[in-house]
Amino acid sequence: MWNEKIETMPRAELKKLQSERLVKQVKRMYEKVPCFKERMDNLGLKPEDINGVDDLHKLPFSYKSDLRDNYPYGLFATDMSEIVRVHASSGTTGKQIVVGYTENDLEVWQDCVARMFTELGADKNSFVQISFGYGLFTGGLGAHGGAQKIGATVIPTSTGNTKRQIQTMIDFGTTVLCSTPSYALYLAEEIEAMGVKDKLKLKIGIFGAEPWTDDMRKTIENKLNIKAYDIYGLSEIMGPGVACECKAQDGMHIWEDNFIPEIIDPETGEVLPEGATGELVFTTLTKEGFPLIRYRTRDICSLNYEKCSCGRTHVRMNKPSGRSDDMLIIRGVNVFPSQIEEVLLKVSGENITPNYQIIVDRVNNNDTLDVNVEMSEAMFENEIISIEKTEKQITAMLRSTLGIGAKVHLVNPKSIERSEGKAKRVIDKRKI
Amino acid sequence: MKQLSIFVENKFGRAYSIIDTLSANNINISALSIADTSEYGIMRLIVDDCEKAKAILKENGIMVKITDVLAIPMGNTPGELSKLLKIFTDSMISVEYMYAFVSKKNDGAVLVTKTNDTENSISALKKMGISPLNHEDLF
Ligand SMILES: [Zn+2]
Repeated sequence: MWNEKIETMPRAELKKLQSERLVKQVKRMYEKVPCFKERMDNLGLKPEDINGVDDLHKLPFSYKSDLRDNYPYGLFATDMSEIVRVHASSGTTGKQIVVGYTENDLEVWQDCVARMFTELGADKNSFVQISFGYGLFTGGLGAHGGAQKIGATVIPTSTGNTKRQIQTMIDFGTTVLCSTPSYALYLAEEIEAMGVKDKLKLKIGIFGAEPWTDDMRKTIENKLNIKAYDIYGLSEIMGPGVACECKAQDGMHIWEDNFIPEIIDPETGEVLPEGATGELVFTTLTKEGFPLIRYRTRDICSLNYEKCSCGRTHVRMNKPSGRSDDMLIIRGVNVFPSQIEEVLLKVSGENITPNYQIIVDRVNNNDTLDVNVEMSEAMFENEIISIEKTEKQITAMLRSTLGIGAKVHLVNPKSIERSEGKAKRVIDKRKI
Repeated sequence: MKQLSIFVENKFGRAYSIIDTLSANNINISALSIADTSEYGIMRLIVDDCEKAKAILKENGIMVKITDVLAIPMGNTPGELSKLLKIFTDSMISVEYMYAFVSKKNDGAVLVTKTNDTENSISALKKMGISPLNHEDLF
């Protein structure tokens, strides 16, 4: 193990550590983050009222909208001079959300990811190819930091250019691959088609950033002759590595020395009993730059507190089964219908959004996004060229807002199916 | 001259359903032309009762607009169209689209066209002794 003392810490000790850290974190945030102080004040809570993990449920929730309302740096809890890195991801509207890390935050992140690599069999002799996107997205650099920490040889290929990815795997002797599961499957199929499976040294696959099934896992494992593991994370909390599977492949260990998970009823906000399925909520204990208390992830899952066969004491989360909001994950990118709505409102030239429907599917292991838009008076011109112009304009604006391409179809007014008078906005045909 | 411009998705049976809707409501279609790409088309129609046709189509969820176009009478003999187009070319007017039909009422061919400059087109035609037709001239 990378950090045996922490990873196998008895739960009572772990709770004590969490309590100490929580008390400090709340005190610090109360002083440094005005939005948090205001919410505490509104509840009549003082930092002194929080004496440990048992008081956690008293604290106010935080939401993705907080990141938007305090954009860009309003929720940061350190001076900007302490921040050494920022990452960003899409928000619920056109505006992206931004998170920041201090030197120590990056250190903790690397440590979490290093625990995962070590458990899954990677070490300084490994060649770790990172096919997550690099850049503002946390995937690439997040996995990179952990791989570097264990002393592995990092091959930062980022996404795209599949033929070269495969050539790199062969030539550089890649033993560990990190990517989205759908890309791994795509790579596996290409490798099969090229007939180069025998030339690979690949042993371990670490896949995340989008939902996938156990069937998909088996297919990838068989096609590539590797073990495939699930990794979980979100940039608001840290990035990839908040939780990860161990060799048992039976739930993802959440690193509880850094994060406290809770499962709540998304409607009432009540904390649910152990083992129940509900919305996953995170509190960051060690984050300096961008700490969050009781952050609503909107992911629906359950927690398993039973001791794991790997010897770790940290709780395991089951694969999220859905969302308590309408966020879609398409090609690893978070997409909110409201972002699409915003674009259409701009294009329509009227004060109402044209009716639309989002159709998500998976074709050849690649997510597809189609947006049907009902033609409105203002959008319809007599010239075919102007219709095409409208279509192109919507396509371009969606690309820049969502960060992924969408195929736009203009359709007849009132042609989008409605149930009980309300148009069904999202049709997700993917079988996940 | 008024023309109906109708948005058509390229879907099976779409054109039929539009024409069928009009015929069921006794609208007489004199001329038709379709401009299309692989996904969309615009159907352009000259009908006897434009306003009624528009109202009916709208009710049926079909996107329609009424557009002003030029309807120019021409003889049903070789060289007539070329003569008309020369008038536009000589006046630096470009044609965006055109189609033609034969009208029972004025006993000749009619060219329906939209140019980039309607006013100049009319004066160029008038100079050559040609008057564009009104709706009443045809129905
Ligand atoms: Zn385990």
